[in-house]
Amino acid sequence: MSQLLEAGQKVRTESTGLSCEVLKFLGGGGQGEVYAARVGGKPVALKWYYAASATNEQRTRLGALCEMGAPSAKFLWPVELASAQGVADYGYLMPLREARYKSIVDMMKRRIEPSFRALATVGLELSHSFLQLHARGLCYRDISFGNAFFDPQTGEVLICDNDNVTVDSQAQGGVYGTPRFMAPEIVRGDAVPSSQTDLFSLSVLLFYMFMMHHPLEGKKELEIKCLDLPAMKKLYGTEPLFIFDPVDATNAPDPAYQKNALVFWAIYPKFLRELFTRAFTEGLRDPLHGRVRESNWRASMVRLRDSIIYCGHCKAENFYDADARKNAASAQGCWSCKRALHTPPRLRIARSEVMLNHDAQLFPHHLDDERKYDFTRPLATVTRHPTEPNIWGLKNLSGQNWSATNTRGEVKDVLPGRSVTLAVGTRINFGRAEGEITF
Amino acid sequence: MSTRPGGELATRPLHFIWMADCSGSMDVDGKIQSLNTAIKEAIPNMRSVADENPNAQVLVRAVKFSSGAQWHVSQPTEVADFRWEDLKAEGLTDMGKALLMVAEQLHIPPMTERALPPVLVLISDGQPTDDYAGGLKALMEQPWGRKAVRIAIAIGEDADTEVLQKFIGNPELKPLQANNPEALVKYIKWVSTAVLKSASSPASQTSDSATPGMNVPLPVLPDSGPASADDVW
Amino acid sequence: MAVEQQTARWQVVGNSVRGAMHERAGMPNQDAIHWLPESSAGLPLILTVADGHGSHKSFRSQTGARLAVETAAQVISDFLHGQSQTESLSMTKRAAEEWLPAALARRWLEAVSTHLAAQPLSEDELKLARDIPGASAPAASSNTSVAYGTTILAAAVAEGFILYLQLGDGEILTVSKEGEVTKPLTKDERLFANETTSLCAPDAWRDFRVCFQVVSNAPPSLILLCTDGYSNSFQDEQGFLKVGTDMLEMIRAGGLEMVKEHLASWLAESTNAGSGDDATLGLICSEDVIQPTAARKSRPSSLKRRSKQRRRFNQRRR
Repeated sequence: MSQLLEAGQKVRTESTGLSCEVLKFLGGGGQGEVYAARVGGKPVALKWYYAASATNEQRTRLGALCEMGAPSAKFLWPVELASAQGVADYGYLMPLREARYKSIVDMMKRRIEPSFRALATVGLELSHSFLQLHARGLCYRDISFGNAFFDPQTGEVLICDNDNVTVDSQAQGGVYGTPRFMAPEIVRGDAVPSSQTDLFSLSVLLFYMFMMHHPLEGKKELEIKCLDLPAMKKLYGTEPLFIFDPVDATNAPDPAYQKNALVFWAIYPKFLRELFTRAFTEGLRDPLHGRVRESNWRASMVRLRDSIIYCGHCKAENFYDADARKNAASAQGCWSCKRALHTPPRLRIARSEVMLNHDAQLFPHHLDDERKYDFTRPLATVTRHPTEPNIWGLKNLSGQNWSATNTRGEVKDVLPGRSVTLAVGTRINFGRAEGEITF
Repeated sequence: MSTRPGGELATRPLHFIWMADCSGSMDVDGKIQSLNTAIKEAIPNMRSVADENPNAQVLVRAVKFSSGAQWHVSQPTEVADFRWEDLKAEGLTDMGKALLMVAEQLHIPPMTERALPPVLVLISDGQPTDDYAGGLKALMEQPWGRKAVRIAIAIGEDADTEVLQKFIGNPELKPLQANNPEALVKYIKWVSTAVLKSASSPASQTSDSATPGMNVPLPVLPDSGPASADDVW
Repeated sequence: MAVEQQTARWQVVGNSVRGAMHERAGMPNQDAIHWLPESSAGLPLILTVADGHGSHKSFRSQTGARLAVETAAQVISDFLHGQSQTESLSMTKRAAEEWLPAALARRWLEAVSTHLAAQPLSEDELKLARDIPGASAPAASSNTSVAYGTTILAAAVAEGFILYLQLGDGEILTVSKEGEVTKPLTKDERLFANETTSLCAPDAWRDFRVCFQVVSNAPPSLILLCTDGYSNSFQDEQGFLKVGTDMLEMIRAGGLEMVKEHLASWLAESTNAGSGDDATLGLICSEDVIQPTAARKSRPSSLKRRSKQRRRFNQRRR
């Protein structure tokens, strides 16, 4: 039920002076309401603020954001302010969010079930996007579930609700959103939002996505009978404790009510767990130097995605964990059906390893140091021999020749379109990098 | 002012559909006559059940399939008014077409969301002679098709129980095997009383989660080197 | 200066009747309804409704529903009191969406455990738990809360906002001053053909739908909560939505007391001719609809009584 504007009502864009017609109420938040609207025949989204939120300060900030433009296409950004005679307050226009994007809330609510592969992509794009935002000298201030949207099929990300973005270190104080995503120093009132505090929020968001649980809500959270300001301040600000803190287990997850955290934590490879541990131990205590940086997250997300393998029995996605293999006596089975996992061959290239599943693809990121994080077009894909079903190969999708050296020392050219058999010890020269197939 | 608020009241529709095989083989050993008799005997029982459950509006239809498929009773009929005209047996076994026709009727509309889960009873003595898989798929694509109570009765030893099991779609419920007229009457009676009764009382169900597996081939390393294949292809 | 009496601002009314089906089967009413404060007026005002599943496996769902409405109302009440110090509505909104569902599910499970400890399953009940068609393991050992399985719906009116929560089937309607009826919660596609999500499901918190509505220019005049036994009694959706508009008119014309008097019989009539299931309806009514009582003499004189028989009053212009 909308309260501010009605269908058919018209407002005016401030810079371009165009008429904008309100079409349909889409939803309301804490600060205002969002409508589907039309400007110059084209569909747009229009957000209109409640009186209490329509301050001059916000208006100025919005104006600046519109001027600046979005850091990248992954941000759904304010385009122009809007107002109208005889109508209280103001709003702004932004592009409509496509229906294919779902929020993390949808994932929590089991309305979508993205694969680990998609999740790793979401993590990658989130880290990458925030890096770009911070590189521009901006800080987000209000990262939470409600702002991060993604396409569950592909993992492509769309960051919304950008009307609170401010210039780094110019953010005013004041309580924002929920303490659950805020850095402890802000919850305590010791600091104002900055790119450093954004880093904390990003780590909470990533933890939540992968573990389906909050990193600071273990036994201690269950002890809270009434969620009021003092309780929140304590749990997230003055006495925050990681649920998997390696030293102090007093906030460990309760297996009866907080099972998700325990189940998911065990699934991921050691390197990811170590990164989360750092984020919520040093990261809690040391805002300047202890937090995991976006570039770390970005690299880890790619590594995570490249380590996905499939269970031969139940098809569930698992992870190849090189560290675990070094230490563990017996290999861990599939997390879903518990049966033994069969590991496919992998390609070791530079300092990374890519598992060669039936659907594995290599991108410029893998094969060219100058094109890191370029995942636009695959340059290679795993493929099956057309007549010998037991033979698998790596197909050259790039425009240049590779050369492959097998264990007998024989060198052969792999022209574009052709495939080289996956055999242990085969080395492939891709042009700007060389890799080896191992097992 | 004591008129109650809101629009018209209505009981919840419960669609009950007989799907009967009347292929040529049903003529052998009086199978079709047994079926006709069994269904006619069942009608009074259905009436009792309907009377005992006034909040479910039982609406009966029937589709017959042999060479092609037709509605034997095309209009959803209240049990009190339901009459069974004897089926005659002749022709093939186009079960798929029958499934398609039922699928069409389970679409929303004409079905509504507030209906009770429908009951579908498939009776056959042989093998389908058309694309039954396509028909079944169409049925299962309808939410009401998936939620329907699906029962199958196999008449005689030549019935294709695998097909019937697929129709049921629940490994814990098997097709009922009727090898003589007494058994047929017994099963038809059960369907039109016990099953109808439980379908008439809508206790809420919490759903089980089922995760279908995907078909994913695994790359396998060749043993010591390709024996007969080239390294590059 | 006119003094407004706080107690008359928002009020709640509700009732629940056993369905004809359960009467015939000798089963109790498995719906439940509850509100806080008990006096049914004043803010924050919380209304909860629940529908026990009543299936084979949920043989204690009557208790489950009662525990659900009581614990939910209490948890929400505590939550709202706890949040009264926060300055930012966004913070409360997030907490409501993220923390509250899990707290509701947990508190219900705790209440169920306590009840079960005080009244362990009898021999007959244990047998019921095992005799579930198709069950591979005795349900009683793994998830006893299934025996208490229920849905839960809640609406809470606080200063500055209204909160709606729902887990499972049932309906929540809001009616505007002009009589426009809308549903504040988005549809859950899984609730179809008598299937419902439930408090007894593992991770039930994930299945909650929540709507946090800031009260601005045009808050709803009426909020209705009902179980599906009531909504399923109408021939079609339009017929059910009409309940909202009709109620608004009735309260304006005849007052809330009149609705209170007749509600049980309306529910009975509806379910008997309709779904046959237990039917429950609760209404939260705002001040601009409620007829002024004798106690509110100090209100501005624009609220005049025309006659004792037909009690109408002028709408206050904003």
